[in-house]
Amino acid sequence: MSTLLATRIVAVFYVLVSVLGLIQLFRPRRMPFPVVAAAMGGVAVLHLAVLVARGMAAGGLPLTNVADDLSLFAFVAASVSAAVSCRGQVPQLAALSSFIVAGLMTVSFVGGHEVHLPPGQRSGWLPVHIATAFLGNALFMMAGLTALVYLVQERRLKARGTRFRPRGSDRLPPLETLDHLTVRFIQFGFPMLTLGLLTGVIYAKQVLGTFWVWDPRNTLSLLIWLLYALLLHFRLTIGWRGRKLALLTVVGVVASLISMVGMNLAAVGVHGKDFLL
Amino acid sequence: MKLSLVGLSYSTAPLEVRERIAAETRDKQAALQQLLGAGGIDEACFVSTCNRVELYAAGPHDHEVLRRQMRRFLADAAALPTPELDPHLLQLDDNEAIRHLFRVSSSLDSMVVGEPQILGQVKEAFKLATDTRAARAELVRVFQRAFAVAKRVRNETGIAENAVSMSYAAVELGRQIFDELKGKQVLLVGAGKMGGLAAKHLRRHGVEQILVASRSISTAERVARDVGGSASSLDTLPLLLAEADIVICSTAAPGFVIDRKMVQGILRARRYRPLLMVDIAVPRDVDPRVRGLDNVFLYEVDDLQDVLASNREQRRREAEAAERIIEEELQKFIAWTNAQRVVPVIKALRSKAVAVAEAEVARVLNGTELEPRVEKKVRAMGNALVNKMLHPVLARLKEQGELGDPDGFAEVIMQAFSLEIESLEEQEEARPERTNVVPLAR
Repeated sequence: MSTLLATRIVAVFYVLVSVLGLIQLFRPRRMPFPVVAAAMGGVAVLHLAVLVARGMAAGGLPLTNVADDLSLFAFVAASVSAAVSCRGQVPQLAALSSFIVAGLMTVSFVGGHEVHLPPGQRSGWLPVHIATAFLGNALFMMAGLTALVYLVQERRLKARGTRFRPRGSDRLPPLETLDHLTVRFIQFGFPMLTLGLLTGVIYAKQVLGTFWVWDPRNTLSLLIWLLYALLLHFRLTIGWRGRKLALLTVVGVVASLISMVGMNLAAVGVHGKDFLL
Repeated sequence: MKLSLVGLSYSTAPLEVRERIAAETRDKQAALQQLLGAGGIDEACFVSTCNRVELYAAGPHDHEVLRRQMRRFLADAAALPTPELDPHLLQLDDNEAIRHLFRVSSSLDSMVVGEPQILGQVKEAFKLATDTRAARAELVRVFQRAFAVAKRVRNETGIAENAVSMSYAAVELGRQIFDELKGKQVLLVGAGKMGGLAAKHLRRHGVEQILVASRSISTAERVARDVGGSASSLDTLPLLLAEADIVICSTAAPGFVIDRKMVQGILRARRYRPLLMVDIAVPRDVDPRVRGLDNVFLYEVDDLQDVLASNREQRRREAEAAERIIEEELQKFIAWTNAQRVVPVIKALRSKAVAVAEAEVARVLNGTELEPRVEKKVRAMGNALVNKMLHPVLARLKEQGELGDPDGFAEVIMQAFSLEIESLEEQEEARPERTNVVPLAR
């Protein structure tokens, strides 16, 4: 069985997990949290095996095409969310991230062909660039999801009494838990994104002869990096938190989704159609 | 085997009586031994919480024997003559007792319906009873079923999910905002009684530091002693607010004690940590415009009552659903228990018939030299005859069995076919370790 086929089978599994996630969100009593988390964790383990197999076949980090990049991203999101859900801090996280994971894996179906770089563009920095940037983005994605849950819970608590009670919201985790997790994700994601930007710059110097190209993808990434830098800065200095922090986190995640998927589909700038970074 | 329950709870007996019995029976193991030592009781379980004392006993004789022993035991513990204690007692037998246990375990009989502790308390009592071998076959079956029912009620209804009292609401709100209440600081503004109650409730849920601020320092000190906190004056209120996580206001002041500017001013000093404010004073102590501030969560009496009212309605619905589950499970359990009683008859009848058929077939085949194929057919015919003849009888036995065999059908069958079986009790004595865990009905 080719490892690409195996990746696609894993993708199908993720779609199935997202169906469980959907049931979980709308019929919480029918689908207990641990079931979704365990299913997600199980598929993530399978996914890891496929990633390792693919890495051995590729003789290095398995990042030779769009499907691989998205696959790594999805793996990080899936395993982290399954772990957080299993620990019971935010039991909803597995269900929420299952939609994004399944979506990205499905997108990878479309762009799954091998990319053969011209010899002039090959460099050891490229896989490091891709891996760190994706890792960072995956962690930001988690931050975005916990921030989203925070916003729902905050609105519910502010609405007093019975006025805002979306389905299943009586089981949302406490605000503080959500806030701490969001910041934790950003704290881990930020160095990764920084590393991704730096390696990208080095790689650009190597193959393009210049450190920085003002293409839309780069510009947006830089803005996102600045946004999170500010968020972290204010959190660490004056303890900034709450609704605004959650909102900005979500904005950052939406921006990075646009930069990852949207710009790729539009095929603008040096990142082109074949790279998702 | 008969099963009876004698007990008393917050709804049947005054606190003094419950207190006395609870104090006298602190050594539960000794209490169990004493019960088993009394004649006529084979198995016993002793459930004792701050709201109830209940004895479950099973024995071979009449219910009245069980009840009398348990009544005597409770009267001794309460140091009351039996006739005086009697009006405070709940006395139930068999299915009624089982239903009661199902309801208690599912927290439907609790003072705060849906409170989660009771199941653990019943389990603990049951564990002691099994560890000391006071509970064996009969009680084990009933209690294990009760735990399964409680679990089902918990899973399928929202009965455990909502708050009931104002203090409870404060704790619940705290839980939705903070990681954990442990280590959080409570600030009590004013000396209102409800505020004190809420503070005590919070302390029971892990809050360690309670500060009391009141206009007169002596009042503050009195309340602080009562709730186990320290006292402070109202003058330093902004400083206190900057430290606190949960603020409960219950002053008698005519105007706002805490205004928006004051709260806004302390937000940065508290590094924007979330602040839960519960204002149970009428007229209000906290300017409602505080609500507009990020990370500040203000609840007033009406908000809490909104929560409580909607909860009450919701709880009523959930409790109804829970009662339905209990009724359904009780019927299933009764049917299952009843069916167990005719199982030996069914087994005996079938084995006897099979034995007859086999003997007859053997007699017919003896000495004849039939083709194996034909011989097989003859044997099959013997079995088929047995099965066809017995089928309606067995079906009816099963059906009657599930209904509790009201017409003594099993007895008739036993006489008609002159069957002999050991009684159910003897079977149980023979294998006391075995516990029948019945799969739950879905």
